[in-house]
Amino acid sequence: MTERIKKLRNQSLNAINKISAERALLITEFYKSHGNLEVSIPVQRALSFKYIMENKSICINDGEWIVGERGPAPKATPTYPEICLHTTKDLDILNSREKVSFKVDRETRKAYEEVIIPFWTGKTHRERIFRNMEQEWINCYDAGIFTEFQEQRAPGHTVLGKKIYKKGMLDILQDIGSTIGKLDFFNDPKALDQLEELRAMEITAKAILRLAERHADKLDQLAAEEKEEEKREELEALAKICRNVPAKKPQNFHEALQYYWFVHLGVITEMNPWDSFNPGRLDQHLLPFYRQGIADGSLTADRAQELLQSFWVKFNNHPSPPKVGVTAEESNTYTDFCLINLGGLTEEGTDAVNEVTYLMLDVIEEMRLLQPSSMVQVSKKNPDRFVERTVKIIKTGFGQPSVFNTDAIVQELLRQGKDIVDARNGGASGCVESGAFGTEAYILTGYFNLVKVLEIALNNGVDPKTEKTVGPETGDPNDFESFDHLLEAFKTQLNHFIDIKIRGNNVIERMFSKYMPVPFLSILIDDCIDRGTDYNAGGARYNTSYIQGVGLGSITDMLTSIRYHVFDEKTFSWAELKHATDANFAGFNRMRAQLVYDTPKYGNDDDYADAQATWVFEAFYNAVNGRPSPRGATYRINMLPTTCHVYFGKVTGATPDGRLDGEPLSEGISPFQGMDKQGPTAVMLSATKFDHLRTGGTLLNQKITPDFFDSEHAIQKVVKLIRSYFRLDGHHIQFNVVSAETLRDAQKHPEKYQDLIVRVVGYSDYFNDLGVDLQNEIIRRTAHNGC
Amino acid sequence: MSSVTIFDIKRFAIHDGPGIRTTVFLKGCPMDCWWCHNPESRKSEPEKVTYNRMLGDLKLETKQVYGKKMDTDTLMEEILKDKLFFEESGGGVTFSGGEPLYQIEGLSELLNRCKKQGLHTTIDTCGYAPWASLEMVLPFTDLILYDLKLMDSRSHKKFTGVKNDLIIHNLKKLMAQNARVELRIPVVPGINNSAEELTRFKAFLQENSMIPHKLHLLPYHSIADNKYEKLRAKNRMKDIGQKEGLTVHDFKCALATIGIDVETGG
Repeated sequence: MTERIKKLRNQSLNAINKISAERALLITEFYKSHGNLEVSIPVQRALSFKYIMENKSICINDGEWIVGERGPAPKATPTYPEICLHTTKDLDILNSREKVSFKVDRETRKAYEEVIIPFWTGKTHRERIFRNMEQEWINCYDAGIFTEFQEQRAPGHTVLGKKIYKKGMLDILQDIGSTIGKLDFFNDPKALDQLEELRAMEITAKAILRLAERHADKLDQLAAEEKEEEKREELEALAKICRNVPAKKPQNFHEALQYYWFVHLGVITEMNPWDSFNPGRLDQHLLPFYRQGIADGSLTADRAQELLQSFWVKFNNHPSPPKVGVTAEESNTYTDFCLINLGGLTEEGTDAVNEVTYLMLDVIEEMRLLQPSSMVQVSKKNPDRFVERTVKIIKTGFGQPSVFNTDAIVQELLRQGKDIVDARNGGASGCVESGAFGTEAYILTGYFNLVKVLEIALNNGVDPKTEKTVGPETGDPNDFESFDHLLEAFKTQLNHFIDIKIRGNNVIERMFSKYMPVPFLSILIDDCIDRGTDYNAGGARYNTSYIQGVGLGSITDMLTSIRYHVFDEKTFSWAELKHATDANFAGFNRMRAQLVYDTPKYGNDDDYADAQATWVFEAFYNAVNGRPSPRGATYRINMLPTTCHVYFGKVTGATPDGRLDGEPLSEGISPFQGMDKQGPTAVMLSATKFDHLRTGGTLLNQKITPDFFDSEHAIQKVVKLIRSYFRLDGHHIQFNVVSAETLRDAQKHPEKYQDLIVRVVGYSDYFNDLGVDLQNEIIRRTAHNGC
Repeated sequence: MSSVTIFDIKRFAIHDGPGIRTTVFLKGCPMDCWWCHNPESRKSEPEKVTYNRMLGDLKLETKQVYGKKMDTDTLMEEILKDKLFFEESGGGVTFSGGEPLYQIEGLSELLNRCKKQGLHTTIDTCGYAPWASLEMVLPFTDLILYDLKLMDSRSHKKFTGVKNDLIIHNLKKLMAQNARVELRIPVVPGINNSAEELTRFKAFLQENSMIPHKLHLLPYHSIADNKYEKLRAKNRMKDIGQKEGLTVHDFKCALATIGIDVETGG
């Protein structure tokens, strides 16, 4: 690492996360002075974007090769009061809380008190959403049956494709103009709406050019003030780059990175989309620029590496914008889920691993930053050397990269109706979600608590925590004559709650498409321009809405316990088991030990237990898959929890698998913590008895101790383990390489482990920033030790 | 169809031969090594034990049986569960123990059936068995992990309960038949980690043309202490304590000088 990068990296690591009121103040100013303009909503949103781009402060950090910050300084994080408004109490909590805190200085608090809160109270999108939701939806939301992604962040979940490497904003403006030219105002009733959207797109394209120009001006100004010749030349060169991109298509490696970064800033400033935004297949996009630079002598491998490292620092400077209220517990992290994809297949279907792939793996290993997160796509066509290199980075134990099965992702996307080229240009983003990069809006709508639904079925429609009747009366399990009867009751409850979730989703989706268009994001994703339709209104070529099932391992073990002990072995009656769970097993230790130790469990390649996993998977799939949404999307499932299994566990009482009241649920498709006793091959076989190819992503977490990788042979075996899982159509696997001992010590001495990054579930985080529950859970997860 | 008594099956065993393997541990052993880390493997018959199982902070007295009889059909089913992993990694099945050759009838049937399924087969043996037993399994065994514990016969008798002449005799015969053998030497403090033993090992390996074979040095760990407690068996290693002597690294360096391919660990 060069001195320059060391400095930038340290600056990023040491920067204090704080709230910046700049964006909130600008957007308030704009709506105060322009809010009554008689323009369409898309144009108004575009003008507000332009206002921010023209007036936000420009920050150039000393020595950086890639310029541009969302806020006035690294980690100065904006808020989005038009979407959701922080109260002064929220700000005080953010300022003072121990984990994932954001400093709020006196000035910011004052701006909120005097300007931002008075203006936005009653006008935010979040309030509009809650005003429009049915009471039964609110009851379910309060009970923790599901969460809602879009209640305080905008629909994100898309990844940039190849577009910006082929077209400058001036080309894009031409495309917009030509679509406007083709509008048929005489025969097409949508033409007028399309015109408004296209005009809004034009405004945002010009606004991002303005932002680049302002950076160029600032750099020229700094150059003029600079006495050192070398530094002056450097600043002048950067200014020149900012005048070339994003106006024109990038001419070299450096310009390609800077172009992406301006676009990234645009997307995450326009709104606060879930999963900030992401360059996706970066090793593919940069390859032509790299090869050209090496060939004409304008670039060296070292230089490319330094540029990438500077680019990496930019991501780390941009924490996820903090949320308000209960959702802080659901998913609480600085990570904003940028997931750089490496490897996989080219759009022609050949091995895509190239020299830039390896260069980036070096960068990932050396930088060891929380953001951006990284993953490798592994196709059967990729060489073992690539997977080995990856495993050696995983071995260093900071939770990256995670490993994905390209061949499965392509099949998942094809099944959803995508063209094969679009599918091969895709990958995974966020935690594990499959998507066609550059052409798809794949919106995650919320986590769904499968375990809670079973708890309600076991209580005849009543949520025992809130004592409210939230579901239909499906009968008292005491009267069930067979296990199938119980399964039917669960299925009825499941369909009931999925209906409520989908109805709510559709209301929210319509509100976003109507009131919160994103014209800037829309110019980046095909075919929004051609269709004259916003990203949030179904403008993308492909549109998908996901509901993420949580707790598959837990619900499997619960059902298996009941099937085994109550119906098959008749160890105890349902009444006895119910009595024990109602008492949180107080006085029922023997029974609890039987449930924990002497009961078949998911994750051990035991067909008796795994049958329930497959059954629940099918029921969930059938309840969701294929249903249409208002913007023309199709509902699909995936199986990932982020950190929501902790929140869902808190709202769920003791369960028949022996889990205590409030303990976290299982995560992703992993077995319940510590229940997999047959090693990783058995886990993989259990986890592939249901069909990953009909999902949009599953998450399998394997905690692994460092001694697993103690020799070249052992590394080879881990490579083969991954290959085997992928032959079984497994979608994703991640390895958490730490010893439980290390983690326990880290709990006791957090000060000594400030650099300790662990893979949580689908992303990595600083161990110290995790809540104590999550820390304990990570410690408990079986540390597989190969002998 | 015959049956065998086993005490464990370990899937994703990565230190018992090439690739990803399933190791089947057969119960019963003719030797009585002081450092044995599988004390539950010695007796041929299943053993009942009582121990305290933890549930959170709670101790619950629990009964457990070490070992069970398994018919070869069921065991084959269990082994074949991971066949995709074997195939992908060039792995297979390893029979360990106890001493697998101690249940020769069941073992040879299992090896035969594994070979018919195209699996790579390995046995992990102490070598203390009639030559006829080895001869019987040789056609179905791709790799033999062969233990050498002590070269000095008197010490061997003291620390393992038997003399080493049969073990050495069998090993020489295997060499003569060009069997694929990898040697394993446990390095046990206070028992065989002396300079004298090392010299004897070196001489033996050189004199018997063992150089082309791979050698694994297995460091001693006290991982079995709680098993001894559970079984209420005497743990003689406690009496030995931490004796001075050569380290695994010393062994490795010294043996590497004679040109043998030495690896630490399985």
